[in-house]
Amino acid sequence: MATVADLLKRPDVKETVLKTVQLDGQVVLKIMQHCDGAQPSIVTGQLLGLDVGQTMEVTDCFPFPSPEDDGDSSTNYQLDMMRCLREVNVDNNTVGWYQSSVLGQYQTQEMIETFISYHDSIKKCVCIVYDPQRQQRGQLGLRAIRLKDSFIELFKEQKLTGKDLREAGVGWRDVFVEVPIKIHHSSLAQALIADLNPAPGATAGDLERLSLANAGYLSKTMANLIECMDDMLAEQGKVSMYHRNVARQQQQMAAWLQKRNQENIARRAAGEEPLPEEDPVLFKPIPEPSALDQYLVTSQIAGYCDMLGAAAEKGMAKMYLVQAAQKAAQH
Amino acid sequence: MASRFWTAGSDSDEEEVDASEEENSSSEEESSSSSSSSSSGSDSSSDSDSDSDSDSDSDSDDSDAPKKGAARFLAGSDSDSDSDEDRRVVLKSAKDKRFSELTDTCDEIRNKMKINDWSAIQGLFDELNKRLERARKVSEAVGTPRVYVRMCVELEDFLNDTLANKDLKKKMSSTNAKALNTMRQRLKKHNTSDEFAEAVTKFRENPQEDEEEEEEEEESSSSSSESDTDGEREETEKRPAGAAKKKDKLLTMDSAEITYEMVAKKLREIVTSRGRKGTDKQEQLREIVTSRGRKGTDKQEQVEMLQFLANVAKGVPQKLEVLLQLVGSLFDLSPGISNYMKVGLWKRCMLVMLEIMDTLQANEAIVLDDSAEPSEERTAEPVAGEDGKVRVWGNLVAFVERLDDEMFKSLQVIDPHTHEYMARLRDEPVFLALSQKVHDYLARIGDVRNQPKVALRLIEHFYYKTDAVYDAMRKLTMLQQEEAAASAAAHPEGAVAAASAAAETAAAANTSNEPGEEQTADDKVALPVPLDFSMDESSTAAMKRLVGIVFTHGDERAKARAMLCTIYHKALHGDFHSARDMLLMSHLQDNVMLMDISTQILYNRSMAQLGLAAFRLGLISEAHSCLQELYGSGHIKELLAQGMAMGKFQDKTPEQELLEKRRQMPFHMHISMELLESSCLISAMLLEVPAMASSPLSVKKRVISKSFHRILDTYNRQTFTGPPETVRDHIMAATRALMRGDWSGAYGAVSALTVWQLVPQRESVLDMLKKQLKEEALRTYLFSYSAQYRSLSLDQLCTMFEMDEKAVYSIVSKMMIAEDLHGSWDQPTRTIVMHSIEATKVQSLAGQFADKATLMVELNERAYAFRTGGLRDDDDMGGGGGGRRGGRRGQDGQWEDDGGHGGRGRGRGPRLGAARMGLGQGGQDFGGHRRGGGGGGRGDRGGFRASGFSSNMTSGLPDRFQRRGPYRQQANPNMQALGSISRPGGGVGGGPGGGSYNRPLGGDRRDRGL
Repeated sequence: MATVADLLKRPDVKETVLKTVQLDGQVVLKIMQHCDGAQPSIVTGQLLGLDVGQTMEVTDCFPFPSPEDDGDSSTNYQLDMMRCLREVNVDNNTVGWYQSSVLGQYQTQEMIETFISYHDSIKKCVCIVYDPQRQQRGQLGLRAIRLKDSFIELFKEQKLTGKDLREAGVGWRDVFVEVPIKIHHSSLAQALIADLNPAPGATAGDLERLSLANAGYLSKTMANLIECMDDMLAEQGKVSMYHRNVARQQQQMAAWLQKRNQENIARRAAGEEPLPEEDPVLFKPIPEPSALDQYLVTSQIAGYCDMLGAAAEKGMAKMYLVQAAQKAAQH
Repeated sequence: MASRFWTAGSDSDEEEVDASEEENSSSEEESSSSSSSSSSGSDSSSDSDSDSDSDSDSDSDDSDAPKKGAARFLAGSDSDSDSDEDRRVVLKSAKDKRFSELTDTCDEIRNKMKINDWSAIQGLFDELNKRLERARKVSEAVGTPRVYVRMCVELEDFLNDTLANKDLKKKMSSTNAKALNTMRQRLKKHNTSDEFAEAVTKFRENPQEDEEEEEEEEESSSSSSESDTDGEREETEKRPAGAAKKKDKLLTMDSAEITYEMVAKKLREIVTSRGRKGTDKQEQLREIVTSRGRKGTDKQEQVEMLQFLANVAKGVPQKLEVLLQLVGSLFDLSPGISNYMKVGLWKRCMLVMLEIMDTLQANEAIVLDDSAEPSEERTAEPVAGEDGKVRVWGNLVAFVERLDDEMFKSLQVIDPHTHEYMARLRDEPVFLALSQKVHDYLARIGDVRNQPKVALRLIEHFYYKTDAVYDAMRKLTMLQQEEAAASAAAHPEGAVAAASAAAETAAAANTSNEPGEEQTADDKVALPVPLDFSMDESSTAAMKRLVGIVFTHGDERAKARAMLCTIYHKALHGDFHSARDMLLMSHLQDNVMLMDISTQILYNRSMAQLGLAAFRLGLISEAHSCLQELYGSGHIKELLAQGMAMGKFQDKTPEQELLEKRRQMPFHMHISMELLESSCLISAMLLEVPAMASSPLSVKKRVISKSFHRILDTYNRQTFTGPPETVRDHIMAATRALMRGDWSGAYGAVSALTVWQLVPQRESVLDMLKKQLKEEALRTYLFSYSAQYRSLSLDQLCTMFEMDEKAVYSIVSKMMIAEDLHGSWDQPTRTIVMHSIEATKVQSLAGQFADKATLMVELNERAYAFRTGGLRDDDDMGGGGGGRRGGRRGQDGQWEDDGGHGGRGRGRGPRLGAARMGLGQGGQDFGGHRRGGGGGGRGDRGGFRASGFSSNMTSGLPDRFQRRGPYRQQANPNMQALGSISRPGGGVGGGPGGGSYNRPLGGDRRDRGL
């Protein structure tokens, strides 16, 4: 029996490891349409699909109404929507949500909270983050994000101080996990695409890709980065303040203990009952600041750095290209 | 119980009786003496007081107590003779009233002591203390009245008796016992307090003598101040008798001094030896000398004595001795270091001194020498030594210094806006003459030890005088001399006689109590300038002569002071360069911190004057470096000793305040604060505005003048800016105009300042300012607006700034060389072609980001150091700090003086420091890159900066000259050195002593941190 149970359990265990997210073409298009249209505000929507083994198949999605509407109607809307979709025979299984982001900003506390709330019902929920600006620059602006399981556990227990996280061995990289995205089309759609997309001729060069004007993007990212640095500095300030307070308290405690010791010695000499040497009332432990924000900011910074790196890399490549082209023209 | 009361009462009574007996005996003495003298009313009135005391004591009847007042009064009026009554009314001042009050209270207490009523005694004792305070206020006397001391002692004795009597204590009522205990404690504290302990013990040691003295005091209208009353008495005596009749005077002296046995004896000797000459006088003189400085000696008497002796002295040396003693005694008359000598007294001293000098001049064989044996050990007339010189003991230099100090003090105290102050200033030539004479005399006898002292005093009278003032003074001297000559011609008996006559009047004036009277008497004292005194043609010549003497013979302090005076003087006369060279070559700025405060003040004054001189010459950055630390400290008033700072944050003890008050400069020596402020702010403006315009974007601006920035910020924050009123307003208005490149507006605002009237070369200074403003406006304009131009015509610039072509050309070229202006000349069209290479947004953002990152690394390190603990001290105190600073600045591509410190810091904290060094260098490279990438030709800028960094590390070269590229060329070594001297210049304030002078400034705090 035990072995059968094991066997039954094993696939379960394996399943928890999500390897890929498979997006249907229409989902991608829908997300893009919704997010592009709502720019620059940030919008969200529901992802529907199936959890198949190591892949998460997202087969459909629908947008949430803009957050200006009150919460009641939005929950109602969600339920209504699900019902309607079921009626038209769409997967009405919620697997996560999508949201737009501005220049790769998504690592926020709310994001984690949403993840946690989804996690209660859907163990393997994903979030598709779509960056319209990135997309406009000719890169795929989609990324599938998950929370790491170890982090989720910690978060649920609210063990988020630096010490806890260190002990659990969770680094800032271990908060979010990016899951590779696979875009899936039905065979019919693939055929259509193949039909729609003619092979590029020599004359129809994709010159837009050669545009060197990425200063705006760079400067925006830079500005965001600087903002993040400010946040980071603030966080750092909190930590050092905490350390200072702790040190001060320890000093006070030591002084108090010494005093109490002496007092006790005196009392003992006088034959009286010594006073207790612990006084929990006097020195409340100072709560250690949460390290979560640091982690988030750090990963945000890392994201920005990656973006900048990529942009710079591309820019350099283009420069070399242009240089070579010029040289060739001269000869 | 009653009987015990009685016994207790009688105990004290016995004492009382004793005391009264003593009093009686002494008052008998008194009356015998008063018969010979024309006794004043005040004497008898106080006599009556003591009489009434004894009366009431002998009564010793409790029921008598309420009647006491009346009885006392009756007794007093009985003993008073009617003829005296009038005078008594005249003389009984507030002071007398207070003292009679005191006596009354004492009597009351005695009565209560008899009935053992301690609660009443307690109340009365309080009242007595209050009265004492009041009496003190009125009489301004420092001592405690005898009456009071005696009361204290009596009370204490009685108290002890009562305490010893256990039974009595038991039987007291509870309130009474309580009062007794309170009294015991209070009296204990009271009698052992510093104020009274001495007086009480003295009284106890020798009640007899004190009784006598007290008697005398009581007799002299119960006042405590001996000299005052004595003077009063003498005055009253002298007036009717006339000053000329010496016999009368002696008689009165005799009578007055009769209680002082010794003096009286000596006086008798004088009377007997009047006709005789020689050895006796030596003896008398010796006695006077020995009695001088002892307590209980009547100083006024001595002065009179000596004056008389001076007239009757035989032989020049003896006369000199007497005169010298006279000067000393006159000094003794002035009340101490906190108050200044009365002007009349001072003048008298001057006259005597002049007389001494005349005598010395006339008799070249006599040598004054403070190493010669004092006269008291000789009985015979001093004989001429082998070299034919007669040595007489005396220290002229000390006298001269004292006179100088007193004059200084009086000028400090007198309100500078009164005629009194002017009148006092008129005395200066005479002092100068005297000092000159003493100086010449010292030169003649070859006293190189003291000569520089006098020379220094003279220098300190000359150094702050501008040519105009000096000339005025010279004219005044000559005028006074002419007058003196005229009066001498009119009275052929000669100047000396006139002088002594003047001395007489002065003596009369000084002894008077009424201030008004003194005033008039002061005016009467004519202090003629000696005819043989002539001032040098110019103050420069005088300075040169005197400074030479100090430099050859003076000690270190004298040399330093003379040097500072010279610097001040040279700066005042516009010779900035040689003044600066002197300052630098003497290395005064290195060790001025170790000198006394008055020298430090002098140093500050010299620095201020140096700055003003540089400003007048248009050497703006020099002026700024001289002035900014003085001005930026916010304590300029204290630093220059021209007024007390109203510091909210530091509470000064009264002693500190007193010390500071004593350091204040007299008004006529002040350096105009407003002028200093204007000069400092204008130079700051001229330096700062183009600098601000050159780097508007950079986050951490290089701040040239913090105080200027502060003022500018507050000015900019104002919601409404009215027309300028203060110096600051004017300069801020000018700053605003200058920031727009509007030189004429700036000039208008600056030239509207009223302080320029104080500048002797007003026109040239204003011209200089105009020129400077134009130049800086041009630079600012180019900095601010060059980005808006594609090309700029030279002619247009010339017309805009009303400058000639050459000047514009040179300024623009300098800016181009320094890479401040990104453009080049297009000669044929006479235009500047701009190469706009504004850093892109990404670049500036990258720079910003780099700053942030560095900051973060730094914080991380600190946090880490905190965790590990061991490195904290190093990190916080200096090494790390310096390194960090260096690193941060490195990011910005801007270096401050800290570079050197940073280097040192790295040396100290090797581990962390090394990491930082790497970081700093990285930042440096980064900065270079950034600019290189953005600016095409600007790549070398980073390199330049880097070299600046290394030079900072090694030589501490002030980067002022690095920053302002174009000025690098004209930076000669001296200027650089001047740049670096500014730091100690500001640090002058620090040093030993109290008050705010202790406060380290600017650079030296940093040095201490390291």
